[in-house]
Amino acid sequence: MTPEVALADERALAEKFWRHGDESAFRALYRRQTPLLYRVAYRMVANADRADDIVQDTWLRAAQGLPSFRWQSSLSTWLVGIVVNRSREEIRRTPNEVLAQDELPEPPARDQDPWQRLDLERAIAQLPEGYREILLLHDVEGYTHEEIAQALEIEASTSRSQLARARAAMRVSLEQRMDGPHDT
Amino acid sequence: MTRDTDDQLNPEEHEKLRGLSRGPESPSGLEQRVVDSLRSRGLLASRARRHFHWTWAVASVTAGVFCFGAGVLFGSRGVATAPKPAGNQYVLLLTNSSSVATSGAPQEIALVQEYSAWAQRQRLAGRLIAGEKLNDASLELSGSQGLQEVHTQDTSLGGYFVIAAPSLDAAIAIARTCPHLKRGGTIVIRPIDPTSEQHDP
Repeated sequence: MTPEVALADERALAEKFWRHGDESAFRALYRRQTPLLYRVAYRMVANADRADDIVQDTWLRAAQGLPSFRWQSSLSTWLVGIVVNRSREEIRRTPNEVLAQDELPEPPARDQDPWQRLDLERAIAQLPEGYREILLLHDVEGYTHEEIAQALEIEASTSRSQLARARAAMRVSLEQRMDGPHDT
Repeated sequence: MTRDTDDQLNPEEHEKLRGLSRGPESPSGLEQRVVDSLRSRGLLASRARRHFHWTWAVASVTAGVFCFGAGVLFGSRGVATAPKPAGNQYVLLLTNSSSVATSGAPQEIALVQEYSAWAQRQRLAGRLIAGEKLNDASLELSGSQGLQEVHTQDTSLGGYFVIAAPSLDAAIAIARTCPHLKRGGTIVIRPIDPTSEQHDP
């Protein structure tokens, strides 16, 4: 399926959903988009329950906002913008630091490769929120800076500069994890 | 591992980060919770109504009206005390129309708010007695044919209000202000014949 066909298909499903309240159309959209939305939400707030709530609210907001969505970006890009905004609200309410250490799995022992998945997850979780969302969207989910700019309503140049800082911060965090917390 | 000195990812970093896009997976029960949440807000048609969205549209509107109506207007949530309705009673039967039918689900939220505001005004003015949404399931009972199911498309009644008004003209005037008309719906006004129980002082 070409991107153009996929977009047309998504638009047809979305219209079927919001015009007629069609459940099967909604479920099709949900199944396509939610894996991405959940990953972003989970990594933004580092908590499965909160990620559930965020994804649920994201779909509710999307359902209410679909009539005004102009389709100048993909549905996915638009939804990602909503999920990031909703995640920011959640973090304002309860900062991640309160939960993150309990929620994330234990990292591997210090002699393992710091790029092991769990260490990487923790390093991302500890990034400042603004860095974290850009790094997640660009380096993990493969969004371009232009798509991130659309989703988050920022300039593409801002996305680029934030990403550079995010990567640098992540490397520092990983090095600290090697040198610090596991030394006894 | 080779560490880049600039802001570019080396291939190993790139691979590790992209590998994170394989998880975590969303919980299996989340989809149904989202569907239930949307349905409870009138953003999804119920299963029974799916094929008759015009009926569902009005029903969702009336559902919203009566959610507010029952919960806020007649509930115990500390809203302003309203005078007890007095006068003759009239039932306003809310029926469907094609123009209401073409509303999209999100617009119905605005409709619900509009109906709710109207109902609130009537309640605070001491004019609103009751209101309910009617379920689509309809059964017809007759002496000759017994019990028969009435198909949804054969019924156009989505809900009703019972109001108090000093006269039929006053009841008509109240009904004229109902947003159901502005949205293309029809209201049937029926006076309720008084009984001694209804009009006990």
